[in-house]
Amino acid sequence: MKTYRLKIKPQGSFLTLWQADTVFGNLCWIMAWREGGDTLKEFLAEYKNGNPAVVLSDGMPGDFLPSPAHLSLVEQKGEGFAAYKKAKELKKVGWLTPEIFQSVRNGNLDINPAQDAKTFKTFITLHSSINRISGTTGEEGSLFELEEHALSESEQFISIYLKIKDGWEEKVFALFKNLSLTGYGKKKSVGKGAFDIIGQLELFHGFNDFKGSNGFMSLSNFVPAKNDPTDGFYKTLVKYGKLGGEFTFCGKPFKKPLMMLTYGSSFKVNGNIKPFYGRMVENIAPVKSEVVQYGYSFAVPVRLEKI
Amino acid sequence: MKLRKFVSITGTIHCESGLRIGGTKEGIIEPGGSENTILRHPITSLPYIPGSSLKGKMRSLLETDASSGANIDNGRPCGCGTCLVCKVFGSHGMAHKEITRILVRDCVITDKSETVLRTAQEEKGVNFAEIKSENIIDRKSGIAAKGGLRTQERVPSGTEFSMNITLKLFDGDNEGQIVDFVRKGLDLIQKDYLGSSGSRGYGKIKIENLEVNDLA
Repeated sequence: MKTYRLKIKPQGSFLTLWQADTVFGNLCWIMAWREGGDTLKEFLAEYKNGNPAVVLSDGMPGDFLPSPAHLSLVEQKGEGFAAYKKAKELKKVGWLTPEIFQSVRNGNLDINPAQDAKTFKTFITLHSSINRISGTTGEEGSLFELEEHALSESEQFISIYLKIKDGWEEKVFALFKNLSLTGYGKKKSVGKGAFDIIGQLELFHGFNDFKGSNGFMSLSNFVPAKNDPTDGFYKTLVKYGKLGGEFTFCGKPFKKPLMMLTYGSSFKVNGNIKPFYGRMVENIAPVKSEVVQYGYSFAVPVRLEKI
Repeated sequence: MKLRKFVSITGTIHCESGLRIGGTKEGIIEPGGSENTILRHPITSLPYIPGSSLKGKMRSLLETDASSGANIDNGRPCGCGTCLVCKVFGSHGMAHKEITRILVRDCVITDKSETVLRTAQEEKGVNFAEIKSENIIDRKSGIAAKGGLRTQERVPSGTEFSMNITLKLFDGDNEGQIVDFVRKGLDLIQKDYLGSSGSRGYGKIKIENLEVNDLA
């Protein structure tokens, strides 16, 4: 598997955050519509067998990379208020510049927390529906609000990192190209999640293994597999997934709630570090037994011995 | 369902009168500032036409068109799932749903209009929108009624926005019928209005350079 970076430029705001499992689901629908359901089944069968064709990271703002979960747990040299204050400041750091990320990856956790970045903006917009008889708005229930997200002005694009099996590059790029025509996430039909792809897939060498690495950090939310490492640092989120495409109209479009580990989670590894961890979760949708939930982790080698 | 192709419909929306699509004002209102602001992009603060406004207006006008077959007796969007409106714009409610064929992007201000409005901002202090005062006439005295004066923001006439609509066409879809239906919707908006306060002249638009192209 080689590592690539894909840069995408949102054309406006988006309602759905760029989480790897949601992006994967959107790509699967494109595949089903373009090549048929059987092709998708074959594609997903490999994932269930632990042999994925492509592993995705969550969407990262610009060149920024996530702060690892263990960053705020760094052992301070001195005890007392100053150490406590610094640990608290480090806890708030969401994103790191590529240089600081590399430094943290190599085990240096003594960073300047002031370099945190405000990269996404969240806001509320009001919408209303028009009464077909009066031609106006304002009746009960016609006004509603949506929570939207946008890149801040300082960031020009979102980076998605991909580990792709040899021979799949063109196909993966074509799927993203098609996705850019339909839009991503909720409310696509009114232009939310519209994006352009900048350039092509770029080979990326920033996550290579190095001497001294003894763990991995995930760049995507994931669900650990049975034999995955357990000694580490993580945060959790509960995912309330929904079915997409035509399955939205099946009557019960909700998946079962699923606990996932968030991006930034890091674990110690004995032996070689694999390019990915995690697994696919089956039997997640009560009314559609064939539906699976993507839960693979985009793993980046790190050094964790100082913790 | 198999996705056969994408078709794009692009054009330029030219405001022939002031356009008002209301937004919310964050933070504190400046002394003398308008309470009734237009919608602006949260990051760039430039006005834009949301895809939801364009799509919603198109849909509601097509539903009220006698030939559409849509059911709007209760004033709500049609949810029959069988008429052309439901097929193209999506069925309202959960019954008989199909994939929505139309994707209406947010219409962003053109570079030309942005330049003009930026110049106006620097030279005249116009914040990408005109402030229009309105009042109510007291029917007895014939002069402005007490409490009737208010100000509204609206995008000045002459401003242009880029329009970008994509159609997803699946096997079995009648491409000509769907494209013509969307064209009809755009035509109806030009005869009606976009945004609010159309009965007093706001929101008259003209769509120029309309092009229909296959994407993939």
